[in-house]
Amino acid sequence: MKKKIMKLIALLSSATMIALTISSCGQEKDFTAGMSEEEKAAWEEAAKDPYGKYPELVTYTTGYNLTNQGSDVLANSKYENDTPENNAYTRYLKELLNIQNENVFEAVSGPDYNQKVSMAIASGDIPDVMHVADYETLVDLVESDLIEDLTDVYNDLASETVKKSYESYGEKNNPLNTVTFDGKIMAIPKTQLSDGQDFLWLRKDWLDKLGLQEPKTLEDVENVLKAFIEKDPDGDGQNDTMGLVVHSEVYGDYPNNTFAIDNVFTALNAYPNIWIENEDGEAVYGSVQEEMKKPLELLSRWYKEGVIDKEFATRTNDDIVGLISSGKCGAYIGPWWSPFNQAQTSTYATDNAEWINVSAPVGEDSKINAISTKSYAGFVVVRKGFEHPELAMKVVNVNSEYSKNDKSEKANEIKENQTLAYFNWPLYCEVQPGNNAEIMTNNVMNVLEGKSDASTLTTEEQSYLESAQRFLKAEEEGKKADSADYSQYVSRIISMKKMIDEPANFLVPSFFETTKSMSTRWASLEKMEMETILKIITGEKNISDFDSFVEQWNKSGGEVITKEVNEAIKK
Amino acid sequence: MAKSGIRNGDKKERLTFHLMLLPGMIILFIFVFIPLVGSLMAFQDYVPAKGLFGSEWVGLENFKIIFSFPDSVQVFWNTLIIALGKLVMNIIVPVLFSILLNELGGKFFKRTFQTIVYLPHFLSWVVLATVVTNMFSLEGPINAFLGFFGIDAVQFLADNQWFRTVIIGTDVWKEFGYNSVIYLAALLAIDPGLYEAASIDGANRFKQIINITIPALLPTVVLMTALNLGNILNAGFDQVFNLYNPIVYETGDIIDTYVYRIGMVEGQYSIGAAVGLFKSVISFILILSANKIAKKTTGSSIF
Amino acid sequence: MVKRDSIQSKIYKSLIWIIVLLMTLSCLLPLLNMIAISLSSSNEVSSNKVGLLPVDLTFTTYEKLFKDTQFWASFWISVCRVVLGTALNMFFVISMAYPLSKSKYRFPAREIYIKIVIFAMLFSGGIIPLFMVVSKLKMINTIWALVLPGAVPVFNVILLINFFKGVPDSLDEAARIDGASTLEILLKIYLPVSLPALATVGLFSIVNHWNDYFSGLLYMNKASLYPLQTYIQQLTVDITQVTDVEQLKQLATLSNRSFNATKIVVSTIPLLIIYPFLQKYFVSGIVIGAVKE
Repeated sequence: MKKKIMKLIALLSSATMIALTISSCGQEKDFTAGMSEEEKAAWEEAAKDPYGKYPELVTYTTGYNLTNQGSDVLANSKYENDTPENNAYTRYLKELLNIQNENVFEAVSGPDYNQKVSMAIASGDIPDVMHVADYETLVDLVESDLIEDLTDVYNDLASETVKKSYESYGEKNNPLNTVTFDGKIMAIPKTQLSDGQDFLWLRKDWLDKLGLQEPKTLEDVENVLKAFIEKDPDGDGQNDTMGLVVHSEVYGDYPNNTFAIDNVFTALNAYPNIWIENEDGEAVYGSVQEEMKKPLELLSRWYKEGVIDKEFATRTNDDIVGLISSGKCGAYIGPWWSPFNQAQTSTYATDNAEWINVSAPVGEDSKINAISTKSYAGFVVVRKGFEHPELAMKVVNVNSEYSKNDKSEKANEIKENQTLAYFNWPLYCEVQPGNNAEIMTNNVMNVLEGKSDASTLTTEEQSYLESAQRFLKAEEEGKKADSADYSQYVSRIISMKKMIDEPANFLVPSFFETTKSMSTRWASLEKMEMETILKIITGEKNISDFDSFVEQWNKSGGEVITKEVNEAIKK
Repeated sequence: MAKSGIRNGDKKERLTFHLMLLPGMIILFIFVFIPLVGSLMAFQDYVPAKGLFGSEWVGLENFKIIFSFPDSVQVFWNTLIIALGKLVMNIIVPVLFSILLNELGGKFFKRTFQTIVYLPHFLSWVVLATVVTNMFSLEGPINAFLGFFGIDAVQFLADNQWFRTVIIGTDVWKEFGYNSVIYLAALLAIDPGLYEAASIDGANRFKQIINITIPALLPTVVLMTALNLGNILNAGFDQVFNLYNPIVYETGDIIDTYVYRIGMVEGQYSIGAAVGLFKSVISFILILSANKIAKKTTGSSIF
Repeated sequence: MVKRDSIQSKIYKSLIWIIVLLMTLSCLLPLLNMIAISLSSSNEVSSNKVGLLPVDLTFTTYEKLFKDTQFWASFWISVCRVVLGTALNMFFVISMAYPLSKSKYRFPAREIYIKIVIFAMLFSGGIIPLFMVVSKLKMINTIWALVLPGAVPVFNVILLINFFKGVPDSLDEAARIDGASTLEILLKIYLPVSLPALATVGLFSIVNHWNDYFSGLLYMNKASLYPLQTYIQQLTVDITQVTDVEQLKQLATLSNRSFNATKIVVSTIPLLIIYPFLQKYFVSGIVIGAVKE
C-alpha cells in the first residue's frame, strides 16, 4: 500500500514535469509578412545601419542589470518617477532607435542577476536579448543552440569605436576570441578595463611629519611601516598606530581586491593565484612555485614583528575600513580608484589626511610587477529566432560610442543619471579600449592645463572635468571639497597620473577559465592553499611546511588540473 | 486496542478528516513533491541550458565526488559537532531562560524582557558579523575582561580551539530569546493551582521548579529536540560564512560553506543536489528513529 | 507563599533578576548599536567609533528613508504578504493538525499522512524545479509566489499536533454526546483552549514571512515588487570587490552603513509591536490547565 502510493506520486510528478517542460516552445513567424515592398525596404535599411532608426517601435524582452543603490537616490530629483523600463537610458534609446525594453527580469548586477539568468535558462524561456556574466553560461547556451549567431551582425554593424576597442587588447587577448565558437561570433563581449597596477597608498601627511621619503623597495616599505607604528605619526602622544592592513584573502583578483597584498609577492617574483608560464613554456600554478617561499618568510617575520595587522585573518572589510578611517592606520595596498573608498573620503573630511599612491614595493628593475586582468567582463547574447538580432549591436554602439559624443539635451539626462547611479544601460555592455581610463585622464588633464578645449571631451570626460574643477576650487578657498569630487579628482587625476608616469611590468596569466576537474576539485585545493598560506604567515606553520603542501596539492588533483590547463591552452 | 470502541466505525468523521487534509496535501504535492523530481539532478551532470531531461546521467558519480574530497570527513564532523552543540544549547539556554523569566513577578517586566531578547533573531549575520568580530577582537571587551583576570588575549575567531565555541555561543545568544517563545507558551499552560498546592506543602521555589515546571516542559523539550534533529547537518551557513577564515577551516568549515565554495568555481547544481539529498536522507532517518525512541521510552510518539 | 519573604528567597529573587537582566541587556546591545549607527554621521560610523550612543547626531538617514518610495512600497508588499501568508498558514496548520492529532485507531490513514508530511519537511528538490513549477503556474511576480509554496509550514503543523494532543479527550467526548459535528468541536472547543499555541504558531508564521528575503529575490522579477527584506538585502550586497569601473559610480554614492542601519531599524519595528500584542493570548493558556483537573 505504502509503496504503491509512493510509486504513484513519483509517476505523477514526473509526468507533470515532462508536460511542463515540453509546453514552452514558441513558434517563429516572419514579421515582414504582409508588408509592402517600401515598408520592407525601410526595415531592411534600419537593420543595416549601426544607428538606423526602426520604422516602428520595436519592443524587445530583456534582463535588466540594476545597481545596488536604493531608488532613494532618485528621490527629489526630476527622475524620481523613472523605472527600469522608462529612464534616461531607455528614453534615449527609444528616441534614437525606436526601441523599447520589456524587462522579463530585473536584478542587481552580480549574484542576484546571475541567478535570474540561470532560472530563465533552466525554464527554457530566455529573453530576446540579455547580458550573461560568466563564460560557462555562454558555453552552455552555445552548446544547447539557444542563441543566435552574431557574426554578420557584428561585421555589418559594429561601430568603429567598438571594433577599435576590441583590437586595442592585442590579437591574443582580443575579447572576440572568447566569444568565437567554430569561427562564429556568438556574443558581444563587454570589455574589462585594465585597472593597471596596485599601489601602496600612504598618508602623505604622516610621511612629512616623520620626515620620511616615499618608499620604493620592500625594505623602504618596511621602514616606513615601522616608523608609522613607532613614531606616533598622528601626534596624539599615544602608541595607537599600526602598520599595514591586510585583506583576509591576502591575494587574488588582482588588482581589484583592495587591501590584498599581491604586490609584496610579485616584488619577489612570486605570482600566486594565477596560471603562469614556466621556463619550459608550460603553464603552472603560481601559488605552488618555489618563489612563494621568500615572500611568505618575509610576511611571517612582518607578522611576528607587528608590521602587518596581527588580526588580519579575522577582519571584515568594514573592520579594515574602520582602522583606516579612525586614523589608526596610514598604509594599505589598493588600485588606482582607492580614493572612492570610505577609508579615504572620511579621513579626508575629518582628519585632514592627504593620501598619495606610491609605486612600491618594486621588483628588481624598480618597477611594480603587476598582473593583467582578462579582457572581457560578460557577454550580450541574442535568443535564437529573435527577429531583430542587430538590435543588440545597436544598443552596444550607442552605449559605447554615440551617447558619448552626443552633446544634446537628451545626453545630458544620461550624464546626470551616471552620478545618480540607480539604473544601468540596458544590456549592461560598454565596449571601450583597455586603457580607456588613462585616455580619459589625459584628455581631462589637457583641458585643465589649458592645452585643449572642453568641447573636445566626451560627456563622461566632461563630468570628470567638472568634478576636478569643483575640487580645486574648494581647496583653493581652503574648504573641504565634496567627497565625490575628492574621489574623482584624486583617483582620476592624481593617482592615474602616477599610473601613466610610472608604468609597471605586466604579466599576462596564461589561463583564466576553469577546466573539468577544476569545477569539482578546485574548492578543496584552494582551501588547502589558503589554510597553509595563512598559517605560515601567522607562524602557526613553518615555512618548511610549504613543500609538503605543494606535494599534497599535486596529489589531490593539482597535477591533473595542471595537465588539463595545458591541454586547454594548446587547443 | 482501540481507546474507545465507538469511534472505530465513525466513517463520517474520517471522511471529514480526509477532506480537511486534502487542501494541504495538494499544496505539498505541487510545491514539494513535484519539484522533488529535481533531486534527480543529483544523478546527473546538470546543465541549466540542457534541462533536467537533456542533461547527461552520471549515476552515483556526484556522490563519489563528494566522498572523495580529501576533507569530506573533516567537514562532515565539523558540521555535526557545531550543529549538535547548537541543538543542545539552543534547548538548554532557552528553557533555563524561560524558567527564570517565569519566576519574575510583574507582567510588565516579563513582557518587556521577552520582547527584547527576541530581537537579535531579526538581525542578519552579515550585520552581526562586525559586532561579533569587534567583541572578540584582541582589543575587544571580551579580551579586556579576561585581561582583568590576567589571562592572555586570545584571537578567538582565528583559533581552532575556540572557534566552534564562539560559533555555538553567539548563535545561542542570537536565538535564545526567539527559541524561548515556545517554552514560555508551554509554561503558561501550567495550572497555577499546582504551585499553590506545592507551596502549601512547604516546597520552596527551587523544588517547585524541579517538581512542577520542568516536568511540564519536558514534552515540549522532547518535541523540539526531535524536530531539530532534522537540522543535524545544517550548522548555519550565514553565520559560519560571515565569521570564518582559512585559519579555522579545520574546525569551522561546514558542509554548506564547502558546497558554496565549490559552486563559486562554477555553478554546481548537481553537487549541491547530491549533498542536499544526502542531508535529507540522514535527517529523515534520524527523525524517524527519534520518534521510535520517544515512543518506546515515553510511551507517546512525537508525531 | 509570597508573604514569607525570607532572606533566602530575597537572594534567590535578586539572583534571578540579575541573570535575566544581564541576558536581556546583552540582546539589547546590537539593536542599540544599530540605532546609534543609524543616527550617526557616516564618517564616524566608518571609523567604527559608534558604540551604543550616536556620535555626531544626525537624522538625515531617516529623512532620506521617508522619501524612498520603494522602501514604503516594499513595506506594504511585506505587510500584505504577512497578512495573506499567515492567514493561509493558519488555515493549513489548523486543518491539518486537527485530524493528525487523533489516534491511529480513530483515524487509521493518519500514519501515512504523517509520513508524507515529515518527508515533505525534510526533502526538497532545490530551487530550480520549484521555480519552474511556480513559473508554469503563472505565479511569478504575484503575491501567490510568496505565500503558496510555503503555505503548509510542516514544522508548525507538528507543533500544533502536539498541542492538540494535550487537550483532554473528555472535552471532545462531552461535545460529541451533545451532538456537535467534527468542525464544531474544532472551532468551539479546540481552538479557544489552544490560543497560546495558535499565537505561538502564528508568531512563527508572521516572523517567517516578514524575514524571508530569498523567495522575493527568486520569484519577483521586478525590483518594484520586492518585499521589504529582499529590498534591504539587495542594498547591502557586499561590493568590496569592485570589478569594473561602472561600479565606481556606485561606490562614490554608496548607501552607507548608517543608512542601511536605518532601514534595518525601521523594518524591525513592526515585529516589536506584534509580539507584545500576541503575548496577550498567552495568558489564556491557563484554561487548559483548568480543564485538565
